[in-house]
Amino acid sequence: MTKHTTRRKFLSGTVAGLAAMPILMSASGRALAADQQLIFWSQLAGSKKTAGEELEKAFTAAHPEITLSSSLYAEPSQLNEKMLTAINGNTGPDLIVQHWDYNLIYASGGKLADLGKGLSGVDVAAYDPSLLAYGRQGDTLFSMPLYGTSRGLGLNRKLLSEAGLNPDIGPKNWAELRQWAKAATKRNGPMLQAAGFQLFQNDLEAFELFTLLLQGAGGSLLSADLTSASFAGPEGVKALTFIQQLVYEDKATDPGFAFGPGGMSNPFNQGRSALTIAGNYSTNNALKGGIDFDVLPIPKENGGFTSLVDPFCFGVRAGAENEAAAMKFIEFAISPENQVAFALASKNVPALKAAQQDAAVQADKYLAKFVETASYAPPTAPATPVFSRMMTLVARGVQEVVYGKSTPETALKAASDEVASLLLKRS
Amino acid sequence: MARLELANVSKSYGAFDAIQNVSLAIEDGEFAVFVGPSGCGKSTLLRLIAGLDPISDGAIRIGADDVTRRPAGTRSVAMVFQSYALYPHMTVFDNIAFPLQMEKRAKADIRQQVERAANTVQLTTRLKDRPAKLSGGQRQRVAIARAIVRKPDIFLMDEPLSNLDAALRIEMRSELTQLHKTLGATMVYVTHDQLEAMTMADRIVVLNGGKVEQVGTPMDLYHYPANRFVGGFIGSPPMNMLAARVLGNGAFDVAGVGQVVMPRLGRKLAEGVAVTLGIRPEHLGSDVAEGGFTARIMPHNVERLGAQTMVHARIDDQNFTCVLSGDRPLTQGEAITVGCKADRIHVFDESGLTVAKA
Amino acid sequence: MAFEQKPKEVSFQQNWSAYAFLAPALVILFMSLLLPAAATLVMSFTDVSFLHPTNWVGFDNYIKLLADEKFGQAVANTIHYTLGVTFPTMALGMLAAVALNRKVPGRIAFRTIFYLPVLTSLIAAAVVWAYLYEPYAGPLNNALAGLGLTPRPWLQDPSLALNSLIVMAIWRDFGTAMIIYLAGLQDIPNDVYEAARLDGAPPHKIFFRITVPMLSSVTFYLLIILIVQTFQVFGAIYVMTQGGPLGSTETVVYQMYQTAFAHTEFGYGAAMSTVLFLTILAFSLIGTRIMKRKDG
Repeated sequence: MTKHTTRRKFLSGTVAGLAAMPILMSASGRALAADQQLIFWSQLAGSKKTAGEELEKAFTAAHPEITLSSSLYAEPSQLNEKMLTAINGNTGPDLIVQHWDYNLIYASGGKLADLGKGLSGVDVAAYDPSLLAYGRQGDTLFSMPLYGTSRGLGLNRKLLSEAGLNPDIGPKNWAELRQWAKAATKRNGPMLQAAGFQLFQNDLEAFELFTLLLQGAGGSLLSADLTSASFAGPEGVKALTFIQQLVYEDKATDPGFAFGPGGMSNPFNQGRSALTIAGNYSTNNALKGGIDFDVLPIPKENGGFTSLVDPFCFGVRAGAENEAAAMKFIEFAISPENQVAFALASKNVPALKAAQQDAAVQADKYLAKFVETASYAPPTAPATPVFSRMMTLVARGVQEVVYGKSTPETALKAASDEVASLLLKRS
Repeated sequence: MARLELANVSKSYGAFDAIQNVSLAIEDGEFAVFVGPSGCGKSTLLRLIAGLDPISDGAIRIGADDVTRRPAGTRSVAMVFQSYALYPHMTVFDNIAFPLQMEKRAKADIRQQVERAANTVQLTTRLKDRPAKLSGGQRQRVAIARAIVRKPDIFLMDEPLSNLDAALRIEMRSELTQLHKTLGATMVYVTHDQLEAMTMADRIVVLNGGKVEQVGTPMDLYHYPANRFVGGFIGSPPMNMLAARVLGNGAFDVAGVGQVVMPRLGRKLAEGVAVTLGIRPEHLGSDVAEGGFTARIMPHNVERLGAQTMVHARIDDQNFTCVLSGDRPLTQGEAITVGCKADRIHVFDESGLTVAKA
Repeated sequence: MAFEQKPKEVSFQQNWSAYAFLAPALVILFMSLLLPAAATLVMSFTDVSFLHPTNWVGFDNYIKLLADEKFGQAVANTIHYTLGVTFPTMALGMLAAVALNRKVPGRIAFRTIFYLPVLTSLIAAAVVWAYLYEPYAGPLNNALAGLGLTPRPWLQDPSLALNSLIVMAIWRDFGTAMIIYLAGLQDIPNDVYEAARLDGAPPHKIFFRITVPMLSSVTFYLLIILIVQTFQVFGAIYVMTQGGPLGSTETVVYQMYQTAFAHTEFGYGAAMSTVLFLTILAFSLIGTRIMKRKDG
């Protein structure tokens, strides 16, 4: 009998424990949060981690009435996974800072608040229109840039000098760019010792390279109203043909050269590429790799320069419990003082035009160069929710040509048709 | 069929000498049984003959061939394992056929041989079954058939019956004896069971501590054990052993018994020498003869077996067993007198060797 | 009669407490596995994106899947990868196990070395292999060049990348196969090998006619485990090639992830997931059936 009692007691304990489990599991951070708490999901990780921490510290000091509770996500994709599931449960943060294309996806589902209203005290015209373009859907601003990276021509000065080229004066047009790439290429038997021009290490870089050349030939990815694809026209073919010529005529690189995880294993950072497309993020690794690194603007086909910017933007969740505090944080972060501080700490291009020209920012050698190249970026952006699909499709087309599996015309036509059908589905 | 000869065979595992300088000849067609307590080296010796383990020293000859350095499988020996060692994934047919397939014999030939072997061990109806479906006895037969098909010069059997139940063991014992007669093969059979050894062997090899204690026919060993170990090991129930001392008057002083008349011995024992007297339980009777061994014992356990009655008692704190006739009346708590003629007494000297009779 | 009733009573009580002890695990299993699995199945019949209003689309996702060339390529890549990993992994695992089951000197050291890749983190392994495969500075190409052979861009060439990943996966997995085979070899009695030796079987015949067939249940177990595991490859591809170059290393699970999270097409991703689940279920059932038949 004693045995029975003990067993029954044990069982009732187990059952009680089981009954308590759902209660424990539902007790998320949100449910326990105090009312005045600002929940902030941040992607200011990696090279911008210190800048992000300083920004948060300054905000907390300036606004003691708001309790800031921030969570850091290492990769934009990780924050995205968390966001998508949180949005579905109508939970989630008050404020996020995220790569722009994800914000656009959230906005397309009506999940982000209109910042035009919330930031009514802010003079939006004071900010870089190229960066702002990525945060707009139609005329509505859903996503406010904190900073952007811009693209320039990254140089290995040593390799170029060895090839008899003057790295102080860059190539002025595509013809010169090809000559430079060809001249700087070094081969060692069957192996490519140094590429004259390093094309891309992943899909995103392939897409950006094509975009830059497309702009250089006078084209754009999408029509002005963002409703149709325009990259498969003669400008796009010219751009992709240029890439094809670099590989197959000039032999300035090999198909797949640099394809890989990047970082220090990127050939450019190992001194094995003379030219590449560089962004603000390139500086640290290039210097760490001991490269005599420099940045110049990217030439267009017939002279002049082009670039693109890639912003990280704030978004406020539609229906956020602490929208007012979220707006305060954005205002704080985009104020002149903090724009300069963030730019200096993260080496990225500030969104505020005045901050771009700030003396301290201009005194920073590489940052100043990327601020300059940012000025060549068009004031428009492929700000469509189908961006990530389009990027993959264009990158695929570029690679088909690079690997000799397709012609520029066919590859672009195929990509363009698919993008068109995606855009059609959206409207 | 062939003669097997071991010459000064030794086997060491590191510092441990498992087999020490064994020399032995087993004649063509003979059924030899290696018997001894566990750890005596009998299975090791069998493995050396099979070639499963290399020998450390000495030579092994089968017929005229020196096979000492020949690998297993080339020695014309077949072995039946205690565990049967059947191939569980093969049918009975394939198990028996395996050695022939290894010899790359023709299919028809293999079929004929397998069927003949299966017939010998009465397994013809189970050829398509897997070993898992067979009883212990049937598995044993498969193992034997697999040995038979090879037509080896020598059959080696390592405790083949120890995994069977008692009734089946007795049945298989006579079957194996019969098989030996049918095949006329040289067989070396290992067992720890002296009863198996006695009933089956032409000749028994008693092993102890890696050495040969005695070789001989079963009745030789029974009547003329070379030493105290063989005397105690052969025979069931075992020989009674009594500590004794030689007296000046041609008698022994036996502890717990008193004076016992000495049998006629081949050599004279000095006065005061310690000896051991061995008396087989079945030689003790209640008809006490003059001039022999007589003891008064208090039975503490009596086993009635029908034809016989086993009486257990203690003398000088040692077990003392007598096998009396089945109808001998016994009363609880009543002492009895048992004895035997002097020439039934085995005398072992201080080193354990038998003192031969005159 | 009392004898017969008592065990009955005990077994009832034992069942009762057995279920009670199982309950916490079952509840957790239900909430973490069955519930999401059921949700996935339901989602596969919708266009759920978590952003837009969700519509019921019936079998549309599955019909679209049938015509999806990219998915077709992913399936083909996955099959290629699975076959390429599974069979060599088992063959190498078995050979290593047989070699190291003997009392060869240093066998413990070798067993440890062969098993170490299983224990290394995927990221660490990926870094090492990315270096090995590095087209210019990597040891593999340098060795080839040293031997007078043509260096190849192992991970950069669409016709080589998947096979290069397969080699890495074999390196990572064959230690597991070896350990499981070693366990299987312990179950083969030494007597059986000795019987075969005495029956005149040379070592290669012993291997193919005794060892291999007697390991067959272990082999089947491994086959199913490895197929199910490699079919779901994701980590190595995510880290090493991101599905490239030219989609040559894009597998079903990688594409599923891309579809759901990068393209926010959760319904379509759920349909892919369901197809994958049914495929794996089919393999498991076939495997179990075969195992049962073998045992019976």
